Amino acid sequence: MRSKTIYGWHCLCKKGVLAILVIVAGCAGKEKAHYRQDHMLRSVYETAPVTLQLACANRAARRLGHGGARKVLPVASRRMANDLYVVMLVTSEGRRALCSVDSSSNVLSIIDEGTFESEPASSLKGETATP
Amino acid sequence: MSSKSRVIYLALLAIVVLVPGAVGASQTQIYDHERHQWVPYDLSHARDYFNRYNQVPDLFSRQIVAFETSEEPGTIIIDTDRHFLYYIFSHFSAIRYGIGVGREGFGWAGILHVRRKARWPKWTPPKEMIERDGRLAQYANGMPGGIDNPLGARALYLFDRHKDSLYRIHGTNEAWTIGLNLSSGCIRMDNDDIVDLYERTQLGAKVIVLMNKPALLKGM
Repeated sequence: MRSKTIYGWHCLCKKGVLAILVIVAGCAGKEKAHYRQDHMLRSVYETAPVTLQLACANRAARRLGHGGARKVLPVASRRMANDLYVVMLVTSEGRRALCSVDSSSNVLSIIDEGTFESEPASSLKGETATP
Repeated sequence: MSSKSRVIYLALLAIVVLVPGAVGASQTQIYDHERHQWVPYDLSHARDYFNRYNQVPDLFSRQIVAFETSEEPGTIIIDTDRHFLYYIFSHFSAIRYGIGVGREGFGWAGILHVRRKARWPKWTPPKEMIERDGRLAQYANGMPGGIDNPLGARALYLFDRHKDSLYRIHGTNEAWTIGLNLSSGCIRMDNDDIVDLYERTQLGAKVIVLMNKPALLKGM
């Protein structure tokens, strides 16, 4: 009886160890797959992150707003150095400006000059959509 | 403007507008294990990835991210170039979703507002789309909402003041297109994501669409 019990414990222990190994192996396998998925894709961009573009737009809106600008939108950007970007802005009045900003959202300069026209919105209405 | 400022302005303008991208132009890339190199993440790679993993890459999955902004919570910011939509949670955080955007020539930027929301929206293709693709003529009077409808489970209608811009943020029945430039200008999201965004978004919410060198501007 005693030896049977011990045998049973041995069995349970073996099964337990086996189960733990299976779980650990499963987790490790998942980790590997996850790692692989995460590292299959990357972004390669020379444009400014949106937070920096918006920092420029907000600063410019305060500055150019006195000239009647209601809205300021970033329309182009480029990295100049590791932590320095230039962002081109356009106002709702068609004025254009250039902003330099560092990677900590510090706006270094804003220079405004020139105009260009925005395309008028379409006049179609209803359920129509361009998916 | 002083002559010095003018010179600086013109120099910066030339850099932003004229200088082409560096090696490996601005894009999302996937590692090609057969060619042992990074290649653009295009439709064939997207289909292959989706078939293999039954999901879009983790890069495009819904997640909370740090996002420092002075825009009000509830604002939606769309980064067309990187294929991300941000729902501003606070002045320091946002929920980021992966999106599909307009193909070349259909990209746009602007500041619009959500004036209408719909569950399982009806879709009527614009005349221009029917002219480009005659197969859509059968839906000239509208396609009922449902799983085959290209607007997917939900739609947010974007307006320029009180005028319909014709652009929507909507779901899709082609989940693998997230991360790609394939649409006619609308913003596509995974159906689960658009349901999540739909519930969070209030009518009147501001939507800022950003794009590097857009083909046209809306709401400006």
